Amino acid sequence: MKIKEGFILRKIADADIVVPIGNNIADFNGIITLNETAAFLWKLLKDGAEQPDMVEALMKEYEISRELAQTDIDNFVERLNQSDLLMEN
Amino acid sequence: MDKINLERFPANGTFELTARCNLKCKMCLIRIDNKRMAELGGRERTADEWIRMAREVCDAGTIGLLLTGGEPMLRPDFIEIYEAIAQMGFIITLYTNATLITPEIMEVLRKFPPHKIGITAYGASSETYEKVTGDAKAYHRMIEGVELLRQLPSKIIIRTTLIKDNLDDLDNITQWAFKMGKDIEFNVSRVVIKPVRGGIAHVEDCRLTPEQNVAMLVKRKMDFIINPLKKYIEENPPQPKEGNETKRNTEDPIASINEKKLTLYGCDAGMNAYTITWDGKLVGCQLLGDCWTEPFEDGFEAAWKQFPDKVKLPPVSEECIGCKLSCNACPATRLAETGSMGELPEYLCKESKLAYKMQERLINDLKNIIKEGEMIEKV
Repeated sequence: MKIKEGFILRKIADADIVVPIGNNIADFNGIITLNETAAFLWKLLKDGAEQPDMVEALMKEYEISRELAQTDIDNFVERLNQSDLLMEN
Repeated sequence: MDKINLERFPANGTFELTARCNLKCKMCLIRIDNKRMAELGGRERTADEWIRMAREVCDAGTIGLLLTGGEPMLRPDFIEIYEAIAQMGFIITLYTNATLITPEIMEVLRKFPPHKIGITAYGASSETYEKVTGDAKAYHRMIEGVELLRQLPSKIIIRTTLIKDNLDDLDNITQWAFKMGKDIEFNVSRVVIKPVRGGIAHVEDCRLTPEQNVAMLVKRKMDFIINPLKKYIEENPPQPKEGNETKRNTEDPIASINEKKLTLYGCDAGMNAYTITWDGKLVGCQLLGDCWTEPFEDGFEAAWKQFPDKVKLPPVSEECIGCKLSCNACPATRLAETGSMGELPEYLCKESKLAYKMQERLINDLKNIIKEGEMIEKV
């Protein structure tokens, strides 16, 4: 799975925000704010990374346990699914 | 504790792609023609230059970008500019008179709809369009254009400006705008000021008198009456009836934190917002041309940084300093009306004084009505 086309991640001052473009503005006429971890995962998903790779990357970046990394990713993916932001590779 | 916001950040930008327009609206602040353009000595920036500038402002953190004119669709390269900029990740607002929409323009707007579209509509008939814009046929083209733009998922704002020539058409314009549905916003400009940066319109001949303006304000803006009335009721609350009433703190706890902001002109201009004019100058807002830096020559970052050093505000007139009314005068409108950012703008001043007099009369009438109501209740 990966992030749908038409969402641009931007760094504005110190904030990570996602701007919908194209016909995504019908559903997201505004911006989506991400925290630092979410922005990190967003970039990985955007490039089509698989879940195991994401777990490894998160563990390495934040020096956290496998379990915690997996939980963070599950929560993030669930939120993206709820907002219909994901598509199959 | 006073909290002072020292941040200066170019969050909102305006790209004035051209100051030319296919319509010749009598009250336009911006419009110039080829002759005036030659007199001013500038040149419109190319599509490549605007696209490059958009990349620079994107890197600098601009999030809201207004593409405007003049009429931006008058440029033969509008599609090229729009298509590139719309993919960079801005919240795009597009201002247009909706009379030049081609199938090719619609194709690119369907692919990348602006987040917001502001459409100027100056009448509800060909006759009014002829009087206001000098082009009767533009009315039907505007209606067709609005129908096309409404097919997009963009937020639509219909913007109108009242002058002597379309005053009688206000009810029809309003009706037409509201018929389109609740999701369409309808805005009427508060006052018309004189042209800026060499604009060629003669607004003194067509703008409403201060008296007409105030009459319109009362007619359209019920808030103008309701808000002071609310304030009056808050300051004169009905006497509580006997009984065990809960004591309540009526102060807003957040209002006690006095947030102060540093500004250059008394607003966001030059602090969190900027405009890049048709000829490539970075100014505080589209109405200002008093000072500028050169983003195309020096790069946006440098031009944005240099800008505050260029701003020189003259002292404001004594009469304005002593006045307690809040009005539409700001450095930009003062400059447009008087040629100086400090002078008293007679037209705006007269209009505001009349508006307050009218407001005072309305409040007094309402107070009397409330008192009469209380007396009837006692009887």
